[in-house]
Amino acid sequence: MPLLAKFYPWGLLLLLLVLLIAYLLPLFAFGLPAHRPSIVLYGFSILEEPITEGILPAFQRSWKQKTGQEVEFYTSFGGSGTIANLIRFGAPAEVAIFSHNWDADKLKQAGLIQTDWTQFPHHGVVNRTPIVLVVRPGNPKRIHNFDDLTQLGVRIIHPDPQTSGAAYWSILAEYGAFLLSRNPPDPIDAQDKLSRLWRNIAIFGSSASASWRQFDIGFGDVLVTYEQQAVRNFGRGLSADEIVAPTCTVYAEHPAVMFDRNIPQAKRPLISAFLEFLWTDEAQRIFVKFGFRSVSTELNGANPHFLHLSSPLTIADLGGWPNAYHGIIEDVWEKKIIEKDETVVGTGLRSGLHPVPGCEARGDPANSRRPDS
Amino acid sequence: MELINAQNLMASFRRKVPGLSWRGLVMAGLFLALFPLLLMPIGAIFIFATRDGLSRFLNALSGAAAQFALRLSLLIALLTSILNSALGTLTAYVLSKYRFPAKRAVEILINLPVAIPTVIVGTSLLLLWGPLGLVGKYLDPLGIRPMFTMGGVLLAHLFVTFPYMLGSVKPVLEELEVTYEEAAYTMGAGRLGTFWYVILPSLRGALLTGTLLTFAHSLGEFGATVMVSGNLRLRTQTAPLYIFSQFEAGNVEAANAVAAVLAVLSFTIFFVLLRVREGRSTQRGAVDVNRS
Amino acid sequence: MSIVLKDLCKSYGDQAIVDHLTLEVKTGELFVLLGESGSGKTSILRMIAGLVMPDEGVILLEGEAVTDVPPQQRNIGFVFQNYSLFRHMTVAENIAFGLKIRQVPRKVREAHVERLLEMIGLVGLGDRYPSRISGGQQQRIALARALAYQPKVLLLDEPFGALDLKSRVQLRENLKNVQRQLKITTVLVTHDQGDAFELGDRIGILERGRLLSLGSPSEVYRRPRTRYVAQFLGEVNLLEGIVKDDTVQVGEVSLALREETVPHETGARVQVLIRPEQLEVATVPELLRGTFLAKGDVQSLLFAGASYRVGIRVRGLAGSVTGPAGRTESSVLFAQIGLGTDQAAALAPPREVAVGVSAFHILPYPALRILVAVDRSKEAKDALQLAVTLSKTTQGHLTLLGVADHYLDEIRTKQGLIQAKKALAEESQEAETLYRRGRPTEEILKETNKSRYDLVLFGTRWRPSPRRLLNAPAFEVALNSPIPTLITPVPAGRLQKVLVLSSGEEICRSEMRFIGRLSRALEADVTLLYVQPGPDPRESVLDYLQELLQVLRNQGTRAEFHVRSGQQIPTLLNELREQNYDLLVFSARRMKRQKTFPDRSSADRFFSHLNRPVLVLNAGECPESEEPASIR
Repeated sequence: MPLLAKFYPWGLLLLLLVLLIAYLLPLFAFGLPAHRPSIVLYGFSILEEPITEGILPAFQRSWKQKTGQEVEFYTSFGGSGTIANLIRFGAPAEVAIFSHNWDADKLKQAGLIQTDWTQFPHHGVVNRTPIVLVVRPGNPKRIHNFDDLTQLGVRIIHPDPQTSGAAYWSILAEYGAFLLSRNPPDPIDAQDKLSRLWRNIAIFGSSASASWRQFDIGFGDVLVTYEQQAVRNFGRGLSADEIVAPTCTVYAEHPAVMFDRNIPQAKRPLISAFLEFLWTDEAQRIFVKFGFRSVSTELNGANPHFLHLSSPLTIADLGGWPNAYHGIIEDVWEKKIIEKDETVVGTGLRSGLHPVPGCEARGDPANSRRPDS
Repeated sequence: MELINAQNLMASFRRKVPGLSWRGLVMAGLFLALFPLLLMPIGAIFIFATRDGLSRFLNALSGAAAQFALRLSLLIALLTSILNSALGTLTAYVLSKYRFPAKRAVEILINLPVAIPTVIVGTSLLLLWGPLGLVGKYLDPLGIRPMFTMGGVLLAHLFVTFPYMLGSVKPVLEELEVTYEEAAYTMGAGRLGTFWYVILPSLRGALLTGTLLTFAHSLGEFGATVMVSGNLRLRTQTAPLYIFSQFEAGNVEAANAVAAVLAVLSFTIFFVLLRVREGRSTQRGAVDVNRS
Repeated sequence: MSIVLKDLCKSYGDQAIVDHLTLEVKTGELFVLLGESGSGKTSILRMIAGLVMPDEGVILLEGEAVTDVPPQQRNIGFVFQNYSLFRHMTVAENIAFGLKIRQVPRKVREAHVERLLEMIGLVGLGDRYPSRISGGQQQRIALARALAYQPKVLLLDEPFGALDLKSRVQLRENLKNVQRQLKITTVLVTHDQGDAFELGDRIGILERGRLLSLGSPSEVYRRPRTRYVAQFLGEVNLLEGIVKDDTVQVGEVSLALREETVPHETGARVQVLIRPEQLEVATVPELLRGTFLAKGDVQSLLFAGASYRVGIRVRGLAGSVTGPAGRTESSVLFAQIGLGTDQAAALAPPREVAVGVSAFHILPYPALRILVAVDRSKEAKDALQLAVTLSKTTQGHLTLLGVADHYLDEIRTKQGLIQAKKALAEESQEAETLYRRGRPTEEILKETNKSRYDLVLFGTRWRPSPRRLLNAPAFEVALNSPIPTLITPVPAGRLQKVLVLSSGEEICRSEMRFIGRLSRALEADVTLLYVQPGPDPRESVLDYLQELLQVLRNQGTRAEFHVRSGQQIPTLLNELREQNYDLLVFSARRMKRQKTFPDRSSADRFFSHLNRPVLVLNAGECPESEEPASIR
C-alpha cells in the first residue's frame, strides 16, 4: 500500500500509540482511584472460584442493600504457603483464608495478626473439606485406602508441602491413618508406611488446584487432594475419574484471619461485616454448592456428591496444630523421611494418643465420636 | 575405479532427482526444525483459545480481570518505555562523555539485570523496599509502601528492562564522533542545543529500537513482577500473571485468550522493530566514506 | 581580527605536545601551520577554537583574551578533518545550523544558504543528505557551514586529507578564492606542503610542539633556518663549507655570498644547502651558466614527469655530502632538471659531467665534535650522558679518551672504554675510542691540540682525592686547553639556564658564538652577568657586551643582560642564589690573568661549593680581529 508506505514507520507507530492510549484510558476511570471502599482478600487456591463467583457478589449485593455503597474486592489466590509468604513479605492483605491454622499461626508469631481468629465463630473456620483420593475410571490399581498408596508401582500426584496447604493436611491424613489404625498406635510402622508412600510420589503440585491439573492432564495413578476439588469437577461432569474416600482421613479446616496492621480504622466495620458474612447461611450455602462442607453441618445435605466418611479425624485428634506440626510434619516427615535423620527421637507425637476406633474398622459409620457429615 | 567423493555424489543425486536443489533441502530442513520449536507452541495457543468457539474466546477476554490485566500490562509497558528512554539516554550520555573513578564498575553494574534471573531482581526489590525490608521497614510506619502496588511493579520493570534501552542507545552514542558535537559547539550551540539538535536526532533509530525492546520485555515480564506485585487481581495483576494464575486455577481458555492477545502484540512489535532496523541500516550506508 | 598565541603549552601525561608556542596571525591573512603528525598542529588549532584548554599560555582574538572562553562564544568557524556534517540534516539545514542557533529568521536563513551554495558552486544540492554527495562536495559544504554565520576567524583542520589530487587542487583554489573574497583571518593546519605553499600567505613549520620557522612560503623554502626545516620542505643537498670573508669555500671552489646572508666570521664552518633545482648539469664546465661546483659521474637518471632527477657522484668535495631527506650518501648530489629526450640520452650514466650551482643558502654548522675523558667513575658516566645529549641534538661526533697512568691501570682503563662504548651503543650513539699511556693531563691536552674537537667534557667531583683519576687534571686541562672545557661534577639534568660571567674584556665574539651554539643545542637561555668594579659603568664595555648579546640573539638564543656592582665572587654567588642557573661559563684567560683564585685549592673549594657544571672557555688568545678595543 503506497499510502501506508508514505507514513511508514513513524506514522504507523504514531497511530498505534494513539490507539494504545485510547485503550488505556478506561483504566483511569475504572480501577485506580482509591476512594471506593475496597477489601483486599488473599485466599488459598481452591477458594478462588467459590469466592469470586459466589461469595463476593453475594456480599457486594448485601452491602449495597444495606449501605448503598459499592464495594471493590482485590483478590489474590495461590497455594496457602505461597500467600502466607507473600503476606509475610508485606502484601497488603486485609483478610485472608488459609488452608490451615499453621500458616496463620506463623503470621501471628511474626506480629502481623493481632486479633485472635479463634474467637470468631467456629474457631475461625469458614469451611472444611476432607482429604480424599482420586483414581482413574474403574480404579484399575484397586486403591481404597492410604495403605494401598504404599504399594510399589503406584504413582501418586501429591501437593507440594513447600507451597500448598493441602500437602500438610495430606501428610497428616496419611500418617494419622497409618498411626491410629493400629491398636496400640505404632509410630515406627506409620513412619515406614509414610516413607514408602512418599517414595511413590511422581509429581508435586504447587497447590491443590495445580495438582488437580496435573492429574487431569494424565499424569499418575492416584491424586491426593481435597474432596472439594473432586466434588466440584464431578458435579460439572468434568471428570470421569473416580473418587475414593479412605477409611481414615482428616478434615481440612480453613480459618479466616484479619490483618489489623493493614486495616485503617475507618474500614474496620466493613471488614468485620465481611467476616461475619462468611458464617451466614447464605455464604455457607454457597460454599456447599461449590463443594466445601459447611461448618453448619445441617446444610451439607444440599450437595449430593459429598462422600460418606467412615472415620474422619480433625486436627484435634492429632493433638492440635502446634503438636501435629512439630510432631508429625517436622519430626517424622521432614527430619526422618526427607532428611533421613535418625537421631531424632520421638514417638512422632508429643502428647499421648489413643487409637481411633473405626480407623481400622472398615465401613462402620455409626462408630464415631466425631461430628460427622 | 573412479574416486567417489561427496560432490560427485551430490551431483549425481541432483541429476537423478531433477528440480531438487540443495538450497531447497536446507531450507526445508530448517523449517522442519523450527516448526515444533517455535511455530507449533504458538499455534497451540491459538488453537486452544478458539477451541470452544469465537464467542467463548471473546467472553473470556472481556472479563473484568482479563481486561484489567491487559490494560495494566500495556500501561506499565508504556510507562517503562518512556521512563527508560529518558533514563537510558541520560545514562548513556553521562557514561560516554565523562570520566570518573570506578566507571567500569558502574558500567558492569548497570547491565547486571540482564544477567540476573528476573525473580532475583524481584526478590531483592522486595527485600529492600518491602515492609520488612532493609529500607522499607523505616518507610512503612510513614505510610510509604512502594511494594505490592502498581508503582512497585513499574519499579521492577524499569530495573529489568533498563539494560536493553541502555544497550541500544549507548553504542550509537559512542559511535558518534566527538567532532560531531564539537562542530555544533564551534557554530555557537551550547550543550543543551547540541543535545537537542544534533545528538538526539542521531539517536532516533536507537531510541526506537530500545523502546520497542523495552516494551516487549515489559509486556512479558513475569519473574520480578510475580514477586513484587502480590498478584492482586484488578490491582497489580499483569497479563502474564493473569495467564499463569488462570492456568493454575484450571481456566485454560481464559488463560489462552489473554496469551493469544499477548502473542499477537509481541509479534506486531517485533515486526515493526525489524522494519525499523532494516530502514536504518540502508540509511546509514555511505556516510563513513570520509572518515580519515 | 588578529590571533595572538603567547607561550602556549599543552601536555598529555608527560608528553609535551605544544611547547611554549608564540605566534601572531595578521588580520585577513591565510596562515598555514605545517607539520608532521604529532607535531601538535591540530592541538594548537583546537586550542584556538576553544575545544581544548591549554595548560599554560594566553590566546587573544582581536586583542581580547579568550583562553577561558568556550568555543560557542568565540565566533569562529571550524572545518573538521572528517567534515562532521550532520547526517540527519539536509545540506541546506547543515549550512543553516549556525544561523538557526543564532535565531536568524527563516527567510533570511534561506537566502544566506542560497548565497553560500553559489559561492561554493553547489547550487541545487540543498535538499540532499550528506550521505548522498561526494567527498569533495562534502568538504565544500563543511566550509560553507563554517562561514554561514560570518565568524571572525576560520580554522581548518587538514581539510583536504582524504581527497584525490584533482579534488585537492580544485578545492585549494576554491578555498583561496573564498578567503580572498571574504578577507577572513584563516588558520589552516596541514602536513601537505603543496597546501602550505599554494595557500599560505605565511607558513609556520611545527615540530614537536615548537615553531621552527616562520615566514612566507618562498622565504621558508629558499632561506630555511635549520637543516630540519630545509629537509622538511623538500629535497636538499648539503655540503660543508668554510667562510672566507665574503665567499664560502666548498671543496676547491669559492662561491660568492649574497649580501643579505647573516654574517659569519671567517674560518667558520657552515652548511651549504642547495636545492636540486638549483643545480645545473652539463657535459663540460664551459656550458654551465651558473658557478662551477665540481666534476662527477652520472649515477642515476630518473624520469619524473615534469623533470629528470639526476644523481651525480662528485669528486673534489671534501667532507660529508648529505643527500636529500637526511640520507647520507657521501659525495652524491641530486639535481632536478628539465631535459628533452635527446638531452637525457646524452646524460645517461656513467657519463662524466660538470655540475654547477645557480643559488644556495648557508646555515651555521651545529654539529659539535666532543672529546669525552672517560674513566670508571660515576661522574664520568654522567658526563657521558650529557655528551650523548649534545651529540644527538647537534648531530655531532663523540670521541672517548681513556688514559692509563701505568701499566697496572691499562686493563681497567681499556675496560672502562669498552663499557662506555657499550652503554652508548644501547642509546644508538656511536663513538670513537682512543687509548693513551701517560699522564692524563698531558695526554688530554695533546689530543685537544689536534684541532679535531669543539669541546672537551669531563665528569668529575671537585673533592680532591688522589684516587680520582681526573679530578686534578680537569682543572689543569681547563686552564690550558685551546678548546672550551665542560666540567660536570653532578649528573647534568636539563641545563636550561646558563650564566656567563664577564668583566667585559675577556670573551671574544667567537667564544660567544660557541656559547650560543651550545645553548641552542641545550635549548637553554643565557644570562650575561657583568659585575662592574666601581660605581661607574664603562660605556665601551657595556657597548661591547651588548654586541655579544646580539650575537647570541642572532643565533636564536634567548639572552638577558644583568649588570651588578661589587666584588666579583660574592656578587656571582648572590646571583646564583637568586636565580637557579644550571651552567656557569667562565673565561680561562680571565681566571689566569686576573688571578681571581690565588691558587688551585681555593678554586677547588669555590667550585666544589658551587656543585654545578662549569664551562671554561678556551685558554688561547682571541683572534686579533676579534679583540675588544678596551683590551688593546
